[in-house]
Amino acid sequence: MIAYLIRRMLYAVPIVFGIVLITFVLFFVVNSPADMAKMTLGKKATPAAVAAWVRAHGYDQPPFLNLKEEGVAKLTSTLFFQKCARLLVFDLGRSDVTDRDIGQEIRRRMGPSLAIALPTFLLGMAINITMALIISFCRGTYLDRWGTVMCVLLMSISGLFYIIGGQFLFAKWLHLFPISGFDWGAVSAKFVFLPVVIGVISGIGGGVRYYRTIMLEEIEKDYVRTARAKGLGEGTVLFRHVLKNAMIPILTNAVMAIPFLFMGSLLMESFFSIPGLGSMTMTAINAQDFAVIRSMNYIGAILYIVGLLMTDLSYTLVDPRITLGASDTRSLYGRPGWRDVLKILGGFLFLAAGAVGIWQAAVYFKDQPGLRTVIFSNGVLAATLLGSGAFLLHARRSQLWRNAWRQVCRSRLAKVSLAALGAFVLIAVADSVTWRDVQRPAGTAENGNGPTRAVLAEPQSLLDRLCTPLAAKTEKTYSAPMARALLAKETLEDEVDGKVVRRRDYPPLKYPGWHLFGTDKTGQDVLFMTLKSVRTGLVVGGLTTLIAVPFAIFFGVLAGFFGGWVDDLVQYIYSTLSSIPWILLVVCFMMVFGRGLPQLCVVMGLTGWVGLCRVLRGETLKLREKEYVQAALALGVSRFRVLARHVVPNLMHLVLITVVLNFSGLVLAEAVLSYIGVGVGPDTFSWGTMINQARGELGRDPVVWWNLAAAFVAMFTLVLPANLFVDALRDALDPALRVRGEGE
Amino acid sequence: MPLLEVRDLRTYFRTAGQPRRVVDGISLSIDSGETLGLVGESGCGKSLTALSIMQLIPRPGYVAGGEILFKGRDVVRLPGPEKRSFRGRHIAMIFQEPMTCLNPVLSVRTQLLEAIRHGRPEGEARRWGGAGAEEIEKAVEALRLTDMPEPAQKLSQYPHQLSGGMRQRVMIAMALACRPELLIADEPTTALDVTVEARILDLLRDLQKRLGTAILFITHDLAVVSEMAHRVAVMYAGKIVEMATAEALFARPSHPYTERLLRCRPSRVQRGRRLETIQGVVPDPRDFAPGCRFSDRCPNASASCRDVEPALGQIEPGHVVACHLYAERRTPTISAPSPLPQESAAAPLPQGGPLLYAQDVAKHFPIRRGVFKRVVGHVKAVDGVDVAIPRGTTLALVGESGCGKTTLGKTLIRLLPPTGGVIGFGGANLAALDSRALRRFRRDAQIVFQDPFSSLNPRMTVEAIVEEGMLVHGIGGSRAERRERVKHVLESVGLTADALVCYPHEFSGGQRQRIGIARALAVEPKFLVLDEPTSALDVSIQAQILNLLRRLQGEGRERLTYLFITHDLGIVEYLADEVAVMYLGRIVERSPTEGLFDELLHPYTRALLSAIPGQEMPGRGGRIRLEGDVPSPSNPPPGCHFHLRCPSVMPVCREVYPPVTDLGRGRMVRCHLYGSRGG
Repeated sequence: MIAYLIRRMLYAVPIVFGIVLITFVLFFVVNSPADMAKMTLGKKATPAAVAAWVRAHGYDQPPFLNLKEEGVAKLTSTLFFQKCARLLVFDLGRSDVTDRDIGQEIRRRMGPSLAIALPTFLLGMAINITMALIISFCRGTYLDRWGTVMCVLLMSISGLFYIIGGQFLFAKWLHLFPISGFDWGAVSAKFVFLPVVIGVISGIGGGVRYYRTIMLEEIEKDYVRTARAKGLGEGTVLFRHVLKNAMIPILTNAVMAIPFLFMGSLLMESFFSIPGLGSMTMTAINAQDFAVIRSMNYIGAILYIVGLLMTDLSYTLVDPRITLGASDTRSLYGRPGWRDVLKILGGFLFLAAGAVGIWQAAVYFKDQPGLRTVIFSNGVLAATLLGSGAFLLHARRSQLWRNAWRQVCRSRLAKVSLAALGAFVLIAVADSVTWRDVQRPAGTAENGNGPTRAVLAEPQSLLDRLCTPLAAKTEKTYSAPMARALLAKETLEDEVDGKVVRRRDYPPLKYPGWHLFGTDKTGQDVLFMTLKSVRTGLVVGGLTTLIAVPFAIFFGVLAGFFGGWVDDLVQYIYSTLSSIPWILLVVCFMMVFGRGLPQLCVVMGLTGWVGLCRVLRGETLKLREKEYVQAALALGVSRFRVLARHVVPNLMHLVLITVVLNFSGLVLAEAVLSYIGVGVGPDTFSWGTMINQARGELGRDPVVWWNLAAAFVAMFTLVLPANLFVDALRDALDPALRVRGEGE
Repeated sequence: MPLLEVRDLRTYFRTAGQPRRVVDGISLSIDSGETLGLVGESGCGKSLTALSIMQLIPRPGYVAGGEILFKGRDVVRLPGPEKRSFRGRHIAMIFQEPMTCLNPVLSVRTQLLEAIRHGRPEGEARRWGGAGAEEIEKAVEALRLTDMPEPAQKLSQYPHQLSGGMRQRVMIAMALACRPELLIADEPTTALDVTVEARILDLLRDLQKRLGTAILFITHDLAVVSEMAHRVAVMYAGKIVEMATAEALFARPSHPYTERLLRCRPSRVQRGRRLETIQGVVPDPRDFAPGCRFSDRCPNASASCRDVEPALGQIEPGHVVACHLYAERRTPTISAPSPLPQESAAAPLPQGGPLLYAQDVAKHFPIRRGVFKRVVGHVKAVDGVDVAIPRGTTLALVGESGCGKTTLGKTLIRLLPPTGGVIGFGGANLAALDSRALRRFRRDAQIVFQDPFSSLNPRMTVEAIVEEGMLVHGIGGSRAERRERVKHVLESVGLTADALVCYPHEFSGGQRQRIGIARALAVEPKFLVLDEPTSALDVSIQAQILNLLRRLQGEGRERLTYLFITHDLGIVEYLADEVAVMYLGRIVERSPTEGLFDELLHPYTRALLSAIPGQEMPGRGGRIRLEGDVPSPSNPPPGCHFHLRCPSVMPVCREVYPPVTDLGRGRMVRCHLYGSRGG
């Protein structure tokens, strides 16, 4: 046991080092200290001020090697050592903004954070598992069917909605709990209660559904039949036999949730003003406090690694088959030779070039707003169409896909979902087809001025043009849905009998009854904004997937198939990436690269392939043992051809399911990120931005609810069909893959 | 009153259209202390009959009619809680897969105690916490009943720490914990090795004698049934077609199905002849034709067979048959076995050196541990094997599971790189081949796998599967030409050109195995490794595949050379020219097939043969029951690997691994018993 612990610690060392390196590269190489200073001080800061800031915060050292110093100091008085390597001994340094000692600050704020996160986590687990057990107990009944539908519904609701809605309902309307705040002692319960309840509720949908799947899988197993044949009651079978076996995946899931506790508390703490780590991070993000973000990254990663260690240890409690440290993947088909390595490298370079290409394009178009909108949106459109076209071609050829399609079509729910998704895609496509009108045609050299260039109008999409009646009808400020007057009273001047009469009243709208969803602060029509946001949501979901999936397939398949050192390398990469809480990782990237839709997609894509990669690696490990793979090798088919013909096609169903599932996750994540202020820029239409802008107005009286509601409803109507469709898809694909004729 | 009486039981599965009539009106009865064997091919509804009696029908199955009377009470109509307490207490069941049927995360003690506590009288207080000493004693007693070695220690172990045979013993102990009146054994030995199977069968017979339990014994293996059962019921497509005492059934099989089933087993008698087969497959339980369900496959079918369903009729006391032959008093042509056609004389064996030749081949898998993946040991799957297979002949490789047969087969065609030794193929040294030459070699040596379900890519059409090798080796220039060749190959394995565009899941197991063979044949190999190609198939389908393999060997310009890996000695006797017996990574005996069965040399071979159920052993000595299991190949015992289980062990066996003793006429053995004889 002790030896195992020590060995695991040793494993963690390279991972921790990798994390430190990533942080370093991100914050000091990609983004120089001078950039940081400019971000803090503003774009117009003088060089002297920048230099002073850099010096004051100790960023004025060379990155790796200080030639000016003597001896060890050559290495120690460098940025890497001072700002990053010291993290290794938990010397977190001082905040860039408040100059407080970060270590102390974290220790102080740990308590409140845990007071929220721990009860949420434990209570949530308990409730989810119980409900999943109840549902699997009643499988096949109405309770099961409706329970599952309820789960999908709950899953499709944005986490932000739970918080905002819950706060509004319990605290503002019912006055059951204080809206926010925190205190120690007995009173803390009243502050903690609401966040915990909301946290638990927001996790029920996904949790119960996941656990139910695991348990149903276990219930199908042979040993359950044996237990029943012994005459055991259904309760004993479920609680003693099924639950204990199901604990293995449940535990994994629980540990994966540990870094997400972090993320959840980020939102929760800032909404409820809990003085914990989450709100500290929030403040740091808003204040561009790099030192704090760095430290939080590191702490998060360490927590994750400790959590992983704890899962491994708890496995041995649950599963007697697992002996610690005995896992290794043999390289079944020989190690890759140098030619293979070259091929692998070539493949990786191709992928990386793709991502870098998108990135560079994004950076290039960043400074040319007009061109950017036109080319970027049409480019995205083309890429998406090409991608889905390629997939359709592949699917048409394969009978399995056609069968699956037929099965999907048999379910009415799936068809409705597909239609809804199609409608969204149509809106997004209409919003992507963008061109610029010619305002004034190019002049000829008539009047001696020489030929003039044509003047082009601002780029406008098809959707803009279709919705001109909505977009153009702006009001002064807020108005309720279908209202005839503004929300706020104004001093109006009327002319009665030639006299000017002043009175305070609600001024009538310019276009009364036109605004189906009301207008926002600047008088924009909310319906129009919601429609415009569709494209952002779909681009975030789609483009990100397009970047992430090739990486996931590439790494997952290689690691699973070749095993050996390839597997070690890939596992190292993804454990390092996944040990930093994903939201923080994205926040870091976004802080360094700036806000914007393309940036967001690239960043989420480059960090989001890890989960799928893990799944694909596991599946490839199973596939490579299949006899048809060996048969192909025995025929002399080369290993890469075997991968392309036999392995990857048999993974596509997993890829598709994960992609659609991730899609809804990404749409929701975009809202959260934009809400935090690291997502798309404030000038881009998105549901996240809408929520962000509307949130402050909940305090008004009468309440401005329509723009929030519109954003949430729109997100819900996009995510729900996607989730329902995934279910239908999974049902259709899974039995087709379970080779027929296994049973009777 | 019989202990169990099943009357006209019908168990259906709900589907979108017609229900699947898996069990369609069967009646049977079992008396106390009796063993009824229920035999039939897969898909006949045997298991579902058992699960119906247990009332454990999987979804979406349901009892559509009939009654199951246990001591006069209808089990189907018992209220829920009573149904549950009925299970285990009065009727218990053991299942086929001992690997998956025990809960992997609960200890043997927990699982046994569950069963024991279930059997306590109702009034006794339920106690959940720790087990009392008295209960532990009961559990040990239950294990001891099954001849489990060291039962007290086994209690604290988990299923994965036990071997297959031991797990099955735990299952039996659990099932008998409450002393049920009826034990249902659903293929209890199918997943076990033949030596282990023999011991489990002995155990079940012994327990029945001691406890007087009635047994419903379900199996596809007629040989097992002939050893176990007092009476036998033969099931076909959801119906019982024949039922008689075991002696009567095996002496006078009367239904054409039973008769054929008995004759398509390969054995020594049939050597050199075509095996009898049953054409076609079991009909789909969704649309049964109105007449006799066997009529499509029956050689004696008449018009009335296709229209009218035959009822069970008595042909002699206690022997009932559902066949029109007897009702109409037609002469059953089958009773006089038609003379089997002698195969056309096989082409003379080509002369010359062996096609494949291996010396001292080893395949070790390293066991790695720790951060730096230190090698802490080796699994010596193949450990110094000499093989020579002459052109055009069949070498059979036999042995229990885990002895390294499959690894050797894969190593010989370099699907796995050998750890040591020399492999020569047609004069070339395999180890020295570069990647291009290796690819050329792949054309000459092919492999057919055991599992027809996982050996075909579910996402490829049959054409793409068969064509793949041709593409690699550039066989057949144009697309059209290749297609012609694929068609030709498919025809040669007995499939039509319609199969080209179909996907593997549209075929039955036997047909899939044909596709697997076609894939291997498409590149025109000289050498074929057949890795248990029929062990996943029903006996009638197995006969078809064996006939096919025999025919293919004689076809073509050059006779094919086979390495036939199997654990079925019947197949060996029928098919092989030479036999090599493998034990723990080494070949312990090699002999031409003729000589082997006349005089068994190695004690292991003797034990292996005597374990085969249903075999009479005149002049071969009594039954030998091997104790213990095959030791782990990562840590083989010192000296002769077999000495721990050997009945004629000598002191020298514990120290020295026996050298090869050549006995002439192509026979060699590795055993100290023959050390003095060798030259």
